[in-house]
Amino acid sequence: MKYFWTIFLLINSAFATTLSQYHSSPSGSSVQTFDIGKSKTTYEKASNLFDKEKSYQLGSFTLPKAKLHKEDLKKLDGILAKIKEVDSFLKQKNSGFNDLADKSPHKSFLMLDEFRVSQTSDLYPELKQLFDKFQKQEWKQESGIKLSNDLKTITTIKGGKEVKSEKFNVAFHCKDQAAPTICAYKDLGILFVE
Amino acid sequence: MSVALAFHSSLWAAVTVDWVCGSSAIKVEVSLDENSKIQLRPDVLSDVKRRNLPKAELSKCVADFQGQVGAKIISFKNEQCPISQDDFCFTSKSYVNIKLKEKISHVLGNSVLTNNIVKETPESYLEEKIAKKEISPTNLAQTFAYKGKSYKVSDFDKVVGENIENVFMELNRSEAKQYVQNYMVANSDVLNTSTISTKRTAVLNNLNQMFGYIYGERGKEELAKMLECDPEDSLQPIEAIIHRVEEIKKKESCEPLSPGTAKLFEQDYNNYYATGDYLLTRKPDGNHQVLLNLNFKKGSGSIQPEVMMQRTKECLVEASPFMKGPNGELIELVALTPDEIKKLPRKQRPKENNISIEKADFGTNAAQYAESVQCPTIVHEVLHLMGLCDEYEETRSKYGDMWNCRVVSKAPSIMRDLSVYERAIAKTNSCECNSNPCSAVMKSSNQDLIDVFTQQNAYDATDFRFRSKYCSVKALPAVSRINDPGKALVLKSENYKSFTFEGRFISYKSSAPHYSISRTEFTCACPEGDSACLTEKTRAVQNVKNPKRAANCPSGTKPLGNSSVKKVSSPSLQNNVLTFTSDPILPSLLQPNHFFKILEGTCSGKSSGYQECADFAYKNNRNRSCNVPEKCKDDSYYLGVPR
Repeated sequence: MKYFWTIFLLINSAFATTLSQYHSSPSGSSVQTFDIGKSKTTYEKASNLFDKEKSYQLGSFTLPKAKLHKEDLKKLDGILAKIKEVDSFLKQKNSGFNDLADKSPHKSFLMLDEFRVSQTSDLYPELKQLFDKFQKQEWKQESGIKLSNDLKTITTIKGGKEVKSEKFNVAFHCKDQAAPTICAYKDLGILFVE
Repeated sequence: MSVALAFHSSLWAAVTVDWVCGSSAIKVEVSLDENSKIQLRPDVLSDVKRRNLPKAELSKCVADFQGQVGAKIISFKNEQCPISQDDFCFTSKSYVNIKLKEKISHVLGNSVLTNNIVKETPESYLEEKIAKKEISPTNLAQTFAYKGKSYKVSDFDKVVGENIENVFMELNRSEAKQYVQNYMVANSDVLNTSTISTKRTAVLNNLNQMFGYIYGERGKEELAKMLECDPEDSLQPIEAIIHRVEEIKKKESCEPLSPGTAKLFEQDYNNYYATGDYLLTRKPDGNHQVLLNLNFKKGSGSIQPEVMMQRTKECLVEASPFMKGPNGELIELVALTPDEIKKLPRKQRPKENNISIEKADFGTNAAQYAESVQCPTIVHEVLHLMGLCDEYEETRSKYGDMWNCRVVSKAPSIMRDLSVYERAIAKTNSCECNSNPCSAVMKSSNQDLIDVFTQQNAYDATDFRFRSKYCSVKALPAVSRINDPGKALVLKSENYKSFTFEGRFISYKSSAPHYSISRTEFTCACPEGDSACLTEKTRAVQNVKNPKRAANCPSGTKPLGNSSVKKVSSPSLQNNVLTFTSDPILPSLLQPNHFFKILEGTCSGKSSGYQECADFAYKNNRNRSCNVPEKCKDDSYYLGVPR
């Protein structure tokens, strides 16, 4: 029976797994999420805080051509399986995996499905490596906004196409009137601009 | 490691012995359990055993150790046991000649004495590496190579078990829990199996011990919940003894400080968020001073630690005059480097808080500062080091429901909203004013114009996320005359969920008079039932109704050097420098119970409401319901906000 559940969980996780990076502070909450499904993978950016390269985009992205590497997905499933073993053991004792996670205030962390993997977890380096690898894929923006590097123009994207370009009002959308600052755009999230 | 001693004591807290054996020196914490058994941390005797020292040298080491312990006990008694506190003290003087009851051979094993060479295994190799401090037992994921094969520390349950005590001495509670999680992940394959194996028993026994340390007094109850099997080794934690000492000390230490006295607060490892590491001094004038030991270190950022230390010191100087209690009494915040702290008497040295300096886009936390970090964030993070908790909302499911038990305050609080900083402090700004429009405005002698120029503008009055999400903006046509000409903000209409206001801005004009007033209309509307929006709306309306002097230099001017706390009565221009003092909108940077919490730490007193409600700040309802008392939702109970 135990093996049935393990296999079930593994198959199930292969169908839909989410991997997010999250950071929270009174200045604003940042989150980026990969939603990895069997046929479709999406990348939701509600912040550019974790970007390796300068990018002023918020919204939803898809992978039109390449797919995530099978080996990476296998690694992800392996990590998730370990976490679930620990979680199910602790669940029997009225506790859970997240109860033992380091929750230092304002430290960024990863979420694999509903499990929090803190920076001090031994799982973090491998999971962060996977996150960074997924981030490097050639994502196509399906919806949201794109702010020009000079902060002058904001472009709205819908259905993968640019539908509107307008002047960006820095004073209205940003915390300070000049970079570096943090800007918001409607409810799409926050941009750290330099 | 427990060794029976031939003497009795009534009670003895831990003392530290500097022990030199062979070429290495080590600090050993010595304590007694309830049965007068001596406990050594780290387990130095096993360490000595592994070194295979010659018999004579070994005996010398043990004799030296006995002598050291004896000397320490005398010094401990003289220092800690005034005649009035006999129950803390030793009633017998026979402690001077401490002898180990057991023979050295029993303690260290015959192999040591006969110089038998123990066969090396990956396990003994790892033990040796740990003893030599070449491998840290804290890092379970660390790998090492032995005879061409790679091993992980977590593969060796016996070694992990032997080192639990040492490892947990190094960790705070939160780190210890993470260590246990890491150990469980490393052994996830044996956790849920029903097959009994040596490996599984070893893992469960180790977990038993680990949870015992984490949960302390509640250990047994928690263990029963956590594990089915009985612990193999009933290591009695010395907490019972220490706890009794601490209870007595606590009663004494919870008395309010009298002027000229000080109290050292230490982070409670059983309750990570209970308090921090700082020295609280009551100054002769009755006000207080909090002294923190900050050790800035290089991280991914390029700013030097000295620069960040200086910035932090300046921020605390700026904030201190506004760290007020409900009756105007002050807490001065002072940050010192570890070197500066060393100049204080030993009993007045708060423990170090390590803070690394990271890249500008790093998300600052109490232990890691982005190099771009500014005073509002620095003060927020420093307040964490004094035991204050976050109060902002963390309930969004897409963010993982991690802290959805947190009580979210509504009153202005820097632990929820960083903009409180600028609203609570009066800062004197010096701004470069050698070009227009600043120069023209300041030389115009038109007080209304100067007021509009130096007041908070529409962007200062509203949060940028609130504006972007709920407000729209439109330019208004120029008019020859405006109502309320001395106001930068004018409220035009308001109902329970929306409001409209006019913002006036002064901008550059190439022709005389080299400035122009532009007007912009902002309309903000909250969706039905959006309480966060409605709270922000109330705050913004208050700001609009009472435009205050701005916290920073006006648009088009440059701040000159550091701000000063020396107040000036009205904006003035001298030598092309505009000087003005911002108006604090709030009476203090702290709510009353923040103030009391810093003074009281974990003692129950005026901050007991805060302590009760802040306890939920880092909890979620995954496994048990939050059960947040209804009274915590009332800021007058939680933060002591006057009704």
